[in-house]
Amino acid sequence: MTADRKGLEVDLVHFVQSRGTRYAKATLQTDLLETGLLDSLLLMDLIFHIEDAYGLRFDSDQVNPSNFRTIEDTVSFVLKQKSAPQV
Amino acid sequence: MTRKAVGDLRLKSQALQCNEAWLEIANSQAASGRRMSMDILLLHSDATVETPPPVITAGYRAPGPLTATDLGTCFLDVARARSSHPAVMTKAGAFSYSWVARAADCVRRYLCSRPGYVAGARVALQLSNSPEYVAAFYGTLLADCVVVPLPVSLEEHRRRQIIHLSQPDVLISNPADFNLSQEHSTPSTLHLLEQSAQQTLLSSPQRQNQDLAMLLFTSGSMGTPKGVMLSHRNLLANADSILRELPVRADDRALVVLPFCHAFGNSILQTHILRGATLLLDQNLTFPSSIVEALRELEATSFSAVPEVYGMLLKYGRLGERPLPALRYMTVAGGKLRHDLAAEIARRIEPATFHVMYGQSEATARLASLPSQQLHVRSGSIGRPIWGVELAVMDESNRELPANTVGMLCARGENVMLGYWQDPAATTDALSSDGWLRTGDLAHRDKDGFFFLHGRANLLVKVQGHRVHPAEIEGLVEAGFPNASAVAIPTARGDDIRFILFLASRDHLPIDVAKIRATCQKELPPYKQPLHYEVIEQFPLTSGHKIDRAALALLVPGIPDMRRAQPDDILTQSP
Repeated sequence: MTADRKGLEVDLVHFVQSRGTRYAKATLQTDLLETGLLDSLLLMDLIFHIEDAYGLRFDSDQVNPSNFRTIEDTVSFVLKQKSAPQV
Repeated sequence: MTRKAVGDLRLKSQALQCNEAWLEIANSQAASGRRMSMDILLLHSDATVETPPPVITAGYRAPGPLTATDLGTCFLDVARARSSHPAVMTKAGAFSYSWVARAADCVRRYLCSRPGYVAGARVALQLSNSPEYVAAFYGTLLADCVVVPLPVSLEEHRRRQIIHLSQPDVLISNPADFNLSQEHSTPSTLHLLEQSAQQTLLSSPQRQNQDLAMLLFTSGSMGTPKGVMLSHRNLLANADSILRELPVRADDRALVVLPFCHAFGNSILQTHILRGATLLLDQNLTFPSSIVEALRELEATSFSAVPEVYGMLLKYGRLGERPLPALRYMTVAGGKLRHDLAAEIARRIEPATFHVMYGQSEATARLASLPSQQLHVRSGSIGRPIWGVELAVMDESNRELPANTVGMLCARGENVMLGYWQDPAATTDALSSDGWLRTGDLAHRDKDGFFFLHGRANLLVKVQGHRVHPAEIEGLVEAGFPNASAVAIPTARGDDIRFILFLASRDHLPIDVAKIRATCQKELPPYKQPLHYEVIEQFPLTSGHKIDRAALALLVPGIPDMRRAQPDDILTQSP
């Protein structure tokens, strides 16, 4: 999947919102940690989805609150990774 | 505020006023012959708890042997012996055994003073892991009532089913965990707040031994929840067995990620409280690296989790990179952890030990344990029965099979449930007249008495330690979409198990997959939601004209979205 900011935002917001009624109001800026929406299952699912759809691989340093606090943080992280030279 | 004052509780007049209002409503309902509605109680506790002196490991009064025949009294005996020792620690501070005992008494007094109070009434707890949960749990038992724990994020239709089946008189929650829109009645409020030097007025509970203490709802084959009935004896016996198996000490500090409303989490609660140890409750353990940091910073001595969490800890948590000097042991249960991952965890946490355990809700919690030194010798084993438990592999007629023969794994012991709530047929299926529980797991025993699992005899699947029956998903879809036949097939995704939903039209009219997906997203919690929906012309059938689930499972690798259906190579990132 191509990774332009708008497309990523729409995709990841939809991914989170479609998990159920508790998630329906999540926006780009919702603090997923403060609101308790980000549990380990959603974290795992997000990692799988991003790895599959955008061809990235997370390493342990990258699975942390600063990359997953809001969907916007995750979008920025994915864009940064995509633009970095692949090792 | 003095420490003594901190340790006390008071009932706010607000709660009393609410009770009076409730009494009026209840009386008018009784007069009109209608069933009284469920009362809702919200617990508030003071966030500014004074931290007690540092943990003193020498010279403490260790709790004596558990002599009482009910769990509530056993808790009080421990609480008296360990009064100033922290029972629970959160970000807000330490909650001593004395605090928890007084808070439990506050809950007990509330329940016992309610109009229409009867012993044996069910009390639902909708509380996340917190000092309030612990207080409400033992307070309910001390009031001679029965605890019905509900997961905080339980989906609404499931919640309604459990409330309908168990008919609780009271639902206890707190402002953070309670969704007001779920209920019509106005909540009462009880402040577990420390101010007056009010005496705790404890009378001995009347219920004991074989009396029902807890109803644990679990997945049923018909898509409706089944209530596992656990007695005081069940809970005490299993806690005692685990305490003989694991090196739980009174100065332990267990980092808890498992919800107390879950059988495994409940056994962590009971064993540590009955030993007089400390439970470390930290709300921010979503990230594998935060778990490892918390183990280090909070100087946790033990940790227990389901297999999926260990997979994440290995892959993203950098477990083992920095020493964890306080850690003494870890346990896994609630599903199968790949042997190579178990061995890797054991290696990374040395000299702490890793215990692979096996159990189920019907046996209170835990049945078997693989001693850490056997991990490399008995690859893939669930171990031997823990103290007080018998395990046997049996045939269809409940006759024990010889070693190395696969059959039904059966268990017997004082931890085996009383039966299923209001379901004698299911109880007869699960429990034999001589006390053997048919676990539903297929297994063999080796010549040395170690047991090995071979999958399920029925369709139940473990997802993140939760039991899910495919019928729950299929039933929901077929009820809402009568022209659709649905079959949920479990499939591996990485090291996780999730569902693919196969759909076929009954009347050749198109199936609205988008609507079906929306229904599942609305009604099912994330771990039960299908990862993918696949419409097929018709279902493959077995020779007996039943849907051939094995043939459907063979279709999964051909679905483009499921290309990651292989276990992850987690161990490539070993530190």
